[in-house]
Amino acid sequence: MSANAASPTSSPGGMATVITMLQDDRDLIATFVTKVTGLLKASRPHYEIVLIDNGSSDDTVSEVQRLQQIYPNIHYIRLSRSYDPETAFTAGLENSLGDHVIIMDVRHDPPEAIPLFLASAAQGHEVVIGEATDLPRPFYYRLGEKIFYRLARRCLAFPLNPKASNFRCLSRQVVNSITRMHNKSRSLKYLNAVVGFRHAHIEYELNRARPGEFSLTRFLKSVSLGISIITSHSAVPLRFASFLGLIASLLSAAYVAYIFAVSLFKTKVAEGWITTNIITTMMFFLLFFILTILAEYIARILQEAQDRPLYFVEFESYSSETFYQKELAERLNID
Amino acid sequence: MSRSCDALVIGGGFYGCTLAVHLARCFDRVLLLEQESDILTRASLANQARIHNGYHYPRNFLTALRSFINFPRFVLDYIDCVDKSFEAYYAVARMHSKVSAQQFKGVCDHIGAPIKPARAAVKKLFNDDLIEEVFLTREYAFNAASLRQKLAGEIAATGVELSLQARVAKVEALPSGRVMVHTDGQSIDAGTVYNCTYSGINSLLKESDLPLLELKHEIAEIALMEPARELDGMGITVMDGPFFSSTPFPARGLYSLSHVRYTPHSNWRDSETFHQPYEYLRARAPQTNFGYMIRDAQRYLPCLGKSRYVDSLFEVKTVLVKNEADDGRPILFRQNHGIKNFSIIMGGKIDNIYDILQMLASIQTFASAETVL
Repeated sequence: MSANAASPTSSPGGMATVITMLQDDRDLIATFVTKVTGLLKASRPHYEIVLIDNGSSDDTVSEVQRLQQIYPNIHYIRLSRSYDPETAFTAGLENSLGDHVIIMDVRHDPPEAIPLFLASAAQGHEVVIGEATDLPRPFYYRLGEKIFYRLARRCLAFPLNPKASNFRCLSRQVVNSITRMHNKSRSLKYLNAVVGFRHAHIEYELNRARPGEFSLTRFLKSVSLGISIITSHSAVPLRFASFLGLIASLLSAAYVAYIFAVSLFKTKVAEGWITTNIITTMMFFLLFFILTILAEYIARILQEAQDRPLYFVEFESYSSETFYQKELAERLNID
Repeated sequence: MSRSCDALVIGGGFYGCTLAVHLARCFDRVLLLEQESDILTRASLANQARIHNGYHYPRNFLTALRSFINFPRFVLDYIDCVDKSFEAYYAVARMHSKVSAQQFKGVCDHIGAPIKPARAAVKKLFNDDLIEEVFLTREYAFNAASLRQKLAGEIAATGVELSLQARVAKVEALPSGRVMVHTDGQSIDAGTVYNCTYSGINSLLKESDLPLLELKHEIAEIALMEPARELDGMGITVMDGPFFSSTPFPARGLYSLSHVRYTPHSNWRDSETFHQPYEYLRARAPQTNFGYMIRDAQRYLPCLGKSRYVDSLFEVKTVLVKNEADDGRPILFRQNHGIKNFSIIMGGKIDNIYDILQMLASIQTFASAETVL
């Protein structure tokens, strides 16, 4: 027994975790778990699969529990309701144990790429980021993305990679750094950029088995996520608002001086309702623009000030429960 | 070869040995059969070695209170086998815990178990994001090796005949109302027989064509390690959910690490699939889960990562199906189970021994009354 004394913690390559989020994906789980288990088993001595159930309304639980009797090391965590994906993945990161942690999308990211990520990670890359080949998307998506990444480049201290997907592999050190940051806005893309570390990139082709859904609501959600990323991590729009406010007040000061001069030197004051109207409109425009930005910030402050947990766990289960029994039963059947 | 005796105990674990010693006070010939080569080598050895003082059951007030009441008695009676040389800390997790720190302290205060917040230096060892509060408590560990010596001494002193490496194949009712016990090599004619084989209870019942008990078995792993320097002299338990505990394991001079999620390797119910537990364990030869245990545990207590793994104890842990969910571990006592004068005793925790001793007192009164008649 003592022969393997050192191996449990310090085996080469260590332990790998794969995290994915389930949201009404009952029919995908079995294939996913089978594939991923096979790949992980082949590349690491210890591994686990963390399944975050983000408020599925189908029968995901029973499907996962069926698989937990067949496959070892499946950690199932059911969140109390449907959270945004970034929060769900945070739950995954916080409950992962691996020395290397892979995050992936059960619907679109190909499990076959996992060994590539792990190999790159084993070479000392603390962060390995997947770059997905282009997915056909509606034009407003492309336009929105373009605007977002341009804004992000201006506003954020750490650049975002437009091609990066959320399929990535993080070292334990990076996971610890990310989970230690208590921002309520949990964009992995950005948090990743903030913590730094050595990056590498891997290109892969998206799994087209399931078409991407590009509805207007999803687009609007993306827009709101984009705004939240920028306003959570950058003061540039706020500074811009105060700058605008300054200009506006200077303009109005000049206007006051102008009116004063007119009243001094002109005997007959014209009706001039056009100028009045223009000024009022301008001022209102600026005022509301500034208010919009301020509102965003107040929303962020409110979010951060509410000291409540990011998510709640409704239920969790782990697979070691009946695994050996099943395995033995299978073996006996074959013999 | 055939022998006879007044009382026969099958199973030389803590319960079987204690029972045999007590029976020797009212019976002339008491026989104790153990299938291993020494007493107290199975589940009595391979466990957390914790002497409960109530802290472990914040959601079960009665069990907590009972533990608290039995604690000083056990410590006094087995003083040479008790390790007091460490500080016992209970930490309450922020997430996934079924009690809050406040509730935990409330229950302890209510039953009267001493509890106070840990000093800052200890608290600093824990990850503040994951641990809500750490408490200093009073709890000890028992030394299974000393316990074995003590019981061996008592067995010798009371004249109990101990047969080692004696595996009981089956028991059988005799027309006289006595019980015939068949071992591999011999048959023993006994006045009364106690089945104290814990995991093996149902195997013996099955071999003897007697009704089985509703038991659930679990292959459990206790990892043994040399603790990190910072944790030397500290027993740590994280409450109350899928967490871990790391406490001194005096029988080996090491520390144990057990984890609610990774200590159980597999389980089965006798009513669904029947395995002979020890054979099953031997055939499985499970691989250690220490790698998983330590990775999870060090999230809560980072310095734990510096511990050095030594080896693991794998044992079959058996519980009554009806107590699976509620943490309750009552003594199981079935008198005349299928056969007259054949009884079953199963204890879940070493420090629960007083419940059985109490029961025995009544049996003894009964037995001596019979002798007088």
